[in-house]
Amino acid sequence: MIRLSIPLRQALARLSLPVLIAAAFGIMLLGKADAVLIERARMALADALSPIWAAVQEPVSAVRGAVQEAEALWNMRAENARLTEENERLRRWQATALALEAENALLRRQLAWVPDPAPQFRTARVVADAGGTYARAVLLATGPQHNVRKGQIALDERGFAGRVTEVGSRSARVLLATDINSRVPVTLEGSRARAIMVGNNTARPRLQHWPEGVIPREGDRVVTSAQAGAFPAGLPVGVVRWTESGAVEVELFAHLERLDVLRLFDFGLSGILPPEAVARPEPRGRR
Amino acid sequence: MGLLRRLDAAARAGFPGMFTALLIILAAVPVGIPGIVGAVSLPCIFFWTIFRPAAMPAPVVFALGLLQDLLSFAALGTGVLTLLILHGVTLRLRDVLARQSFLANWLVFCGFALCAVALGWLLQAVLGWMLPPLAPGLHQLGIAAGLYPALAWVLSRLHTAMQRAEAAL
Repeated sequence: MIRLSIPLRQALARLSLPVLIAAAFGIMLLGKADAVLIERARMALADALSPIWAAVQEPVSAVRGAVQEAEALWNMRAENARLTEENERLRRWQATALALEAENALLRRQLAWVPDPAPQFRTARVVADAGGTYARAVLLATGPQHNVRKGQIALDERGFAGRVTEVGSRSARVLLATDINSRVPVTLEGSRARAIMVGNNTARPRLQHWPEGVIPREGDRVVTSAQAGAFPAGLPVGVVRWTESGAVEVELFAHLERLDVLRLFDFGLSGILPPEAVARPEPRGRR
Repeated sequence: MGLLRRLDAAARAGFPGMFTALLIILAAVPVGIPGIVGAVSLPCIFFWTIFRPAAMPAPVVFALGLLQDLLSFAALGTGVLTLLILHGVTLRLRDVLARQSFLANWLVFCGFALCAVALGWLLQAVLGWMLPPLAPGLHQLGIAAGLYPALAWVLSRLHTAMQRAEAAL
């Protein structure tokens, strides 16, 4: 061990803070200059920590399950009334759906329709919140042998949740639809008008750039659009909600604040923004 | 000095940094509240810089900031710079702060956390070249301010235990 004289050691201690602050600026520049290196470092760290998170996740989800159970017991009466009413309504829809399905099958037989292949998917557990203060992302533990790749689409059991942006050897990061960098081409089902769903870090992303002459209606269903080649058409996203201030938002079907597992779909689509565009947000004008 | 005693001293010296790193890692477990990762490090660094600065030197703060930045999606370097500046300012005012009551320290911490969050927001705006929303920053400030009493209670217990162990040597 090197023995330093006391004044020298004091001088070094006093110097270390300015030097490290300068190094922090250096790291900022490095982060702007070499996004790939930073991404690799992030995923290496996430890979190393994901077993720990997966272990910690067990008791956390047990506690969360217990809390949900208690809430469910507490609200059972109101829930029951709501479900009875909803069941009534759905029964009517079921009749309609069955009739439409039969009609659809009949029409397809006459058209020599080539059915879409059922998409491959795999399910992965959400183990960590990978967003931080100004981003919305989650980390999935995918296990050592996986075929997850960038651009795959993540859905929870209700609807669209986000997209895989970074992949490590045993974990993957999913940028959620609510993140400020998220831009998703969508279709309004009522009017078939296309629009862009823009994340703003709040629970409800904004709807922007719909064509002139079309006004999104409250309660209109929003589904993905195949416009940019990044998504298949027709994945359920949410419903249109007007705010009191007159902005149009999308209430997502997916419960992004309590994600447990996500399904990663491989639609084989490649029309995706390069990963740098996700890691480094560019100022975007109107497209 | 015996090996065991040296190990003991090393454990005491390494504890503040390791404990903070562990908290940062555990804070990433999703519990439905975003922004905890950026909030847990502030109280720990503030506390240890005042009461045990030898165990929380600038390189350790740097490493903790880097860990925090790599775990979150934030622009790299923002957490490092914010935590280093918090550490530097706290160290400068250490002689005054160490003699204050808990409540006064909490108020000072709230002020520091406000500055840290404002600096983080500014860096995020400059590096991302767009204005991030204010709400997550305020959220982070609230979590940090609310965590301080709980963390300081636990940490001061640990600190007195360590002092007792050192006095017994």
